[in-house]
Amino acid sequence: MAKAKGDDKVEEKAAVADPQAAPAAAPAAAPADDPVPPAADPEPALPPGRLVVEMSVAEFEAHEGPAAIAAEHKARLLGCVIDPADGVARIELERG
Amino acid sequence: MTLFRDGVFFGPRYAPEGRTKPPGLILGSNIHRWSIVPATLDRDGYGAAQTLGGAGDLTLAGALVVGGVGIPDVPRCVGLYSSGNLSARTFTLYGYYYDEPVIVSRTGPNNSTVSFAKAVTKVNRIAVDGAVGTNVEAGTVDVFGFPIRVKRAGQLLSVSWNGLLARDTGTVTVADDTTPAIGTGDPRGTYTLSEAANGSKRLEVHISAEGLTNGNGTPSWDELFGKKHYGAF
Repeated sequence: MAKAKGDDKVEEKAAVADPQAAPAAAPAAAPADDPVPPAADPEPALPPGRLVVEMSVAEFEAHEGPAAIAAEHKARLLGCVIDPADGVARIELERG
Repeated sequence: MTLFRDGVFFGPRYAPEGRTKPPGLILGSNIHRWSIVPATLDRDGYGAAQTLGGAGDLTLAGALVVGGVGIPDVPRCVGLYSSGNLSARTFTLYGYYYDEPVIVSRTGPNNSTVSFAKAVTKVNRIAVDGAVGTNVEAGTVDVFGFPIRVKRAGQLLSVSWNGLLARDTGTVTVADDTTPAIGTGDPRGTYTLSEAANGSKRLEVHISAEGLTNGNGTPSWDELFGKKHYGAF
């Protein structure tokens, strides 16, 4: 089960940005025996399966409900648990 | 083995400390069935759109108000709606959960509906700490109070909505076990439906109750029903 903690959107953006930066840094006339850099993947690198997105209750309230969070992650909503003790909302999702 | 043919009654209306408990809680085992058919939410059921020139109380005269007191159909949370930004204001709800006084506060809405954290059965007063320049409404939301304490989502053995076998994908806010205060959560926890209630769809939940004994063979009221609400007025 993949688990994104804190601001999940930031983590996803970082995952997308890395492969884009790699080809730009590569020299134009690279030696022939150098490995070919992989093509940039426009989709977030989250695998299919279940995942739990964690965010503060304040962040959670800023969204339009857990269904909207599921849509952002292109995932199916399984449920959501908020614990006032730690102030964290845990949104359970399934991708793929 | 002792047979309790008619089940065992836990949680009388008046617990030993004089606390009022939800009526009708009868447990033949540690599994409690919670079944409600909540009415469609009424966004201004307590207070119609109104502004205030300064700190004071909202006028409560909506469709759910009888004799100056707001009465929801089932224990549920109170919502505040405004198309403006009232997030700098603090609203305080004074109400009851059965016979227990409840006081809870929160910041105002910002072009949204926000919900007080504690479910109530009566709404006596909603106060605000300053001027409200944009209309605000007060009414019910689709957030319902568990009848017994739910400390972990795993206690919910089934959550059926509208007669479906598949588990409802709602939001569980577990019981707040911290010492009750004006800003703490519901001592039993709340459940937010995955879709709007409409007065005909049933929410049916089976809860594995905790606190039936404290190790000495006697019930632990706080574990079973949560801590006594904050508030006296």
